[in-house]
Amino acid sequence: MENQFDVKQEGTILTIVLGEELATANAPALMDELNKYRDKGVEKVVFDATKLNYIASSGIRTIIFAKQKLGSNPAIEFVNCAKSIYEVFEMTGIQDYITFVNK
Amino acid sequence: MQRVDLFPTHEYQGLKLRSGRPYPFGATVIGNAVNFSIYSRYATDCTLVLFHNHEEEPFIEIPFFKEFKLGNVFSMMVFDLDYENIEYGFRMDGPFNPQEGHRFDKTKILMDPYAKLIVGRDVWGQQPNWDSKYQYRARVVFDDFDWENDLPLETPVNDLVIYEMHVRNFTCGAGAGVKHPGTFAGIAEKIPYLLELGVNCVELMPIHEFDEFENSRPSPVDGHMLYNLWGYSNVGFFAPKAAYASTGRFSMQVDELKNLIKQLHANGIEVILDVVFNHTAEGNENGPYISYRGIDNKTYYMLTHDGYYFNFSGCGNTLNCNNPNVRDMIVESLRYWVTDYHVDGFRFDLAAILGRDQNGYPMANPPLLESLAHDPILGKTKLIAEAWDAGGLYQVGSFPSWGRWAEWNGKFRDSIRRFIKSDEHVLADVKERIIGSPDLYASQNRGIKASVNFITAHDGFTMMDLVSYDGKHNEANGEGNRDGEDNNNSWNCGWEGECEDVGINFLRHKQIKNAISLLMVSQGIPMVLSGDEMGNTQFGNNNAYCQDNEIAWLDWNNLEKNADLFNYFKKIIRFRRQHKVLRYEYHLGHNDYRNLGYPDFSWHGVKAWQPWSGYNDLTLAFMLNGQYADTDGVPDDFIYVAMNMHWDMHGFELPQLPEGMAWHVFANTEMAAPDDICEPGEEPVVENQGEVLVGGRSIMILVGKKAVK
Repeated sequence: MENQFDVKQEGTILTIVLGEELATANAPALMDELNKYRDKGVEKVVFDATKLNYIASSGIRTIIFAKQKLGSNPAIEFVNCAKSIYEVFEMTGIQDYITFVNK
Repeated sequence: MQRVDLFPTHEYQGLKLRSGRPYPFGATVIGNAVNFSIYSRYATDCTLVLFHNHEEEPFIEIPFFKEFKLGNVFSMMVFDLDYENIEYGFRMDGPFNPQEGHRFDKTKILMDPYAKLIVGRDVWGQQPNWDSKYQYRARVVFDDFDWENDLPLETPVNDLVIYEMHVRNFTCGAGAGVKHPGTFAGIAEKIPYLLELGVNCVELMPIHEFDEFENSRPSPVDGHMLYNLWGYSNVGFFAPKAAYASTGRFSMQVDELKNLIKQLHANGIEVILDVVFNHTAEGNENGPYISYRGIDNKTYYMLTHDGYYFNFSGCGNTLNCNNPNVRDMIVESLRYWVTDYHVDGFRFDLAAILGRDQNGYPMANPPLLESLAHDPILGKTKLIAEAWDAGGLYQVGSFPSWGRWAEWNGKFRDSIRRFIKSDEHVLADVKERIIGSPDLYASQNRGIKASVNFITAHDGFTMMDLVSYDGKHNEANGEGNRDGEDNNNSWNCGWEGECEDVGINFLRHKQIKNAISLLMVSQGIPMVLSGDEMGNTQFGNNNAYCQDNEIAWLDWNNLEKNADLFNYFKKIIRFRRQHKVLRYEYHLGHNDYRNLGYPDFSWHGVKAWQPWSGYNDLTLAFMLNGQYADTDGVPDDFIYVAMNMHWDMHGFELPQLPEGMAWHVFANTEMAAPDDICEPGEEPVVENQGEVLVGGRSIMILVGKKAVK
């Protein structure tokens, strides 16, 4: 399904494979899912954004949630972020705590 | 723990409901419900209308049940809404009796006065569906934001250097070089520029949601479209203009503006908003139903005894600011911008209106202004009044202030403009302005910090045009050049408009440097008009409210063309910020009240200690004693400013400094760049410590400090 996400922890890295959209339809569910990984020793969160082409305000909040709530200040990485999504991050100010990687 | 009062009790067409919380007004997310609350004194019934995003027809209209009303407030909670994807409005039923002040019309869908996010004008200039029955739509907003450690900066008001700017004009023009022109994000891209210029406060012209298509028409001169560019016409007091955000098309303008403010704060720059509480975009009885007219006309507007709209704003209607409920709305709006957007201050457009009662009469102790002056949340917020209105109430120097309000000092503007163009009989007034206008502000002990000094602002000529045009040229506005101020106190330096003459252009640049020098060395809070530092021109248009084009947009190519001006501006701004003696909070004593050997301030003329001016009353000097302005026990320097607005060169005898000190020259507007000004702190020593020669129409600024070998 286009909005399904997939969350997996391997060691200290939590990987989230995102679908095409991250918005109110699925962002709250993702936040609930991420909540389960609190205090599980996560030091880095990797969002695989290869399929992502739309992010809403609720989606942005999910990323901030991951930074604030999982472990002590984990590193946030975005893989294969589309240019349009990157620009939204830039304009709303959260690009500063994300590392962008292309694979 | 779960709350025991967050479950539905009613159902309507498949949606679960509950009686809502009357407070706060507007739409608020509580748990898995949205609380909708709206006040109307005279409405008999109310219906909540919900749309899916962008759809023309609502998907449901929910009447407020009898038990959903408390006092004059309708409130309900609606459960399990996909609130990021709905738009909401209200239908209000009540009497239609204009003579009594009521204009209820339940066929209209009305926008929530407390809407925190408004859609409908999401991309600047994009034609809306004019047939839509609900043009400006309220949405529910995520009001959380990761501010990290940000708070309003609380920079002392007397330390501010304010930069008045317009969101579109600042970055839409040629050479701006930003990825997101005309937006909040575009301003953020220019923060390094603002830091280089040295300003520490930006004053944004109206950023509340407004309609750029208001009075939009093709120019009769050449057909290009004229828009409501400046935005002095409110649609909503709680929402930022969507089209000012590059993410406005995704409805993320709230986050984008908050991010801009966070970044400005991180760089030490405060944010003041220009707010327009004197009227709304609904116009008079012929205007559209957007919100207030249909929700509670008699509450929101100042009406004549037979139900017409008072027009003290010149824009069709006047907001009924001293009605207690409207007053509450204004206070809550301002509090909201401070708590949720961390705004540092407000400049109130046509603020004299805020002191009129519900029948339009000026009050001695206007409750609204008193509320604002004493409000706990606004306790450290800057409050600046444009202390006049379009109905003839001029209150510069007499604005009811409770020691908290500052004013745009229009008298400073007029005196200084006349002085630099060598008018006679203006010297006495100029002296008052330079020392912070005690004639206006000392009596109530409001202090120098009550005076916002400016020479140019959005109303009127730019600085370059002030020295390039004798008269206004507003033909492009399509009103036969009748609009805009006639009395500009400008002088074209010998030719009307742009010209190639080297001498005239040199004089124009010198006059601009004279103006900015006077602004920066005067006591009071200086305000600079965006673009003046690069010699921006509006081609003689002194009322470019509708020119969304190269007339009003800053041309960044001027930075190179007028590099000497930018260099002068940034250095004199830095000079002001480094010298505390230029930034007193309270008025000067004009005597040596601490027995330090020199008075805190003294006037001089071409002869030291003799302030009378010959030469048509156009020569004057003053000295500030830096020992009166120390920082942690370290005194500031002496500063001496010689102003020769006469057309001939004159020698100015220099006052003698204490032993071991010497005069150094910081700026001399007679000289061509780069000798016109130097880096603050690196001033070379003056050769002749007894006298300086000041060229015709020039200003010299000297610094008295330990002699540099």
